[in-house]
Amino acid sequence: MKTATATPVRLGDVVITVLLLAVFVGAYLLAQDWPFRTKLFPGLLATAGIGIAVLKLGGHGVQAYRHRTRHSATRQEDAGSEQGDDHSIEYVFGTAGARAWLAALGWAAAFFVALCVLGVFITVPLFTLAYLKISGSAGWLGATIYAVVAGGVLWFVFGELLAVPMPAGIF
Amino acid sequence: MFQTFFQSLLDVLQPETIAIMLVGIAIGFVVGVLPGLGGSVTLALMLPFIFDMEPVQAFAFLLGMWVVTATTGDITSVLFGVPGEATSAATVFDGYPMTKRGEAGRALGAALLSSTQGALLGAFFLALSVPILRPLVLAFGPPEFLMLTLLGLTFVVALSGRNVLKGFLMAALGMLVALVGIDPQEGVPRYAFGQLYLWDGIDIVPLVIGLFAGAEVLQLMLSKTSIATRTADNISGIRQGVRDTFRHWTVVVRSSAIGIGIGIIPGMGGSVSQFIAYGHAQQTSKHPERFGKGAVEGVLAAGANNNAKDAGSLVPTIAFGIPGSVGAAVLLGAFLITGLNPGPEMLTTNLNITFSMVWIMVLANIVAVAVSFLLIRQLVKLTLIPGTWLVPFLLVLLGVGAFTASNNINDIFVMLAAAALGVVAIHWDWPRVPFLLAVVLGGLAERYLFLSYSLHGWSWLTTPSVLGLGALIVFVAVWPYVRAMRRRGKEPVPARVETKDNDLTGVGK
Repeated sequence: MKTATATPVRLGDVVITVLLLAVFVGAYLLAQDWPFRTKLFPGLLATAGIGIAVLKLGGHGVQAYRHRTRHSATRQEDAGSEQGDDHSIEYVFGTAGARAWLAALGWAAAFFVALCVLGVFITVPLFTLAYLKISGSAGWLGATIYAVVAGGVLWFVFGELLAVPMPAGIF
Repeated sequence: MFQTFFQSLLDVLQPETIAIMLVGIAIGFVVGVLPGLGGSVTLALMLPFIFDMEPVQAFAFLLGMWVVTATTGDITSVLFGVPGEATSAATVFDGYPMTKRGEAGRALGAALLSSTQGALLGAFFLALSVPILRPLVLAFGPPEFLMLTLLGLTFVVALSGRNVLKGFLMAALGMLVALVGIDPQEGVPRYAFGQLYLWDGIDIVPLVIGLFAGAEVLQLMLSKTSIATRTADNISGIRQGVRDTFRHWTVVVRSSAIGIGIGIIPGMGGSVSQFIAYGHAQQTSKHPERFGKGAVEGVLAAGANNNAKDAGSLVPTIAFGIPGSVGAAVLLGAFLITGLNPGPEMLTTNLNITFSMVWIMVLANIVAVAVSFLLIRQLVKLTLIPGTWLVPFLLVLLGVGAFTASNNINDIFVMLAAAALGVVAIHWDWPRVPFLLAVVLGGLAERYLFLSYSLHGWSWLTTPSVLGLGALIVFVAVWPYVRAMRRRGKEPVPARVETKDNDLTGVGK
């Protein structure tokens, strides 16, 4: 367990709380145009959400005030004290560099854009080959076999055998 | 009831159902052995595949897979010191030291068989709880179910994270998402913003896939780690481990009981349960000093507890629609997909499906352990697969899984939005489970509210049962603050070092 220390307010927490507050206010305002039975539950819910968000922001204010007035030699606690398990998702997200994030998000974006544009049967082998070769540093043979098998199995099982509708692309 | 109980066994033993269950078990096997891919994540990924299945088949597939991950998760914990599942972490404490001193087979034998025994005890309890729960559930009306829904949400918020207000905010957001679409009362589109796609509401499948699996896939893409970096050399002595489970049968029974008890409490989860069972086994052992250095009782306690808690978490899920764990919360989505309503129906008209779940848990565990013993050497090789080789396969599952929810490309965008929300939630320590649970329960809560209002006006608010449940909700919501304040009062405060004030919401872990 962490020792007693004033933790600084994290900007991300404040931003998320403000965004949620905006969502609840918007939800409340939109609900005002609806009939009573339609707006009752959303209205109650949005009101509760606004109340909790305001309470949370107040908590951030109190936290920031306490941190500013009391903190001294314990600042390093926030980042350094929680040594995570290097397999945990929190640890990986917290320690990955900007380059790794850009690469991962870029690959994910490329996959889903290709899925929408080219369809699944073209995207899967192409993406698999490119990803394994470039990001996975795999050999040509292994990557090609994986790509062909992945595309082939997907086409045969989902397209032919089960006839499940799949993303077909825009062409 | 007995007739239904045995009839449900026949339902499960139908060739098609058995075949589907075996597929689920096979997937659960691989997922359980591979660290990083949790049972809940895989449940989420597999939800789209049950659309065309009968309820019993759907649960044979999902439940068979889920319970097996808990069993096989112990294999990597023992062999590599890396938990295959988050709920297998306590198995590492003694399982891995046993491996290091050349007793991997004994540890595996003990872990696998105690897992099965825990699962059987849990399934027995689940079956036994039906006649006890049925009169209770049938005595409840819409007001009580509304309060129970809110109580379940409050439990999950209060117990699943360190920050209660964050949990409530996520739950409120989830309920708003559940309200998107045509209002069932008046037929008015709500929060649809003129988009025809949103008139049907937001499907649970892309949300679950994005929220849980999306973040996990991104983690694999970021870390690029292979799952295990070393191989297990010596796997022998399995029989001795099997004998240990019978020699220390009281440890198995007590740890299973702890698992069932904690599994029933929504939000506590297996991660907590296994450590409590482990600690209890250590306290009651004649040789507590051996724990952490390779005590077989430690392996038995963690293994038995791990599986028993799954059955425990199903009890409130089935009876009240309040999931006892993350996996059960995802499984609740399967109820909706297959057209089942958790609650009274599961104990009356759909009792056969409830009993089928009991049989599925029993059969899946027996099959899993039998196959584990046969294929253990081959299974451990799976852990050598590099993470990058899994990424294309998982991305396909994300995309195709989300798309098949309603064969609409917009489902993929919903999944991506949910994945982004999941990543932000993990990175900034906002709990995801209250959000998911609120999406699932939001529609039910509104329906119970209208039924209560239509039947009783507002007078239902003053009935004793509603007031009692309301008081319980307040207690559950406030208790973490009270506990934190009491803890602060007890802790000595060193000079110039403040008490932990994790803002107004600060609650210890």
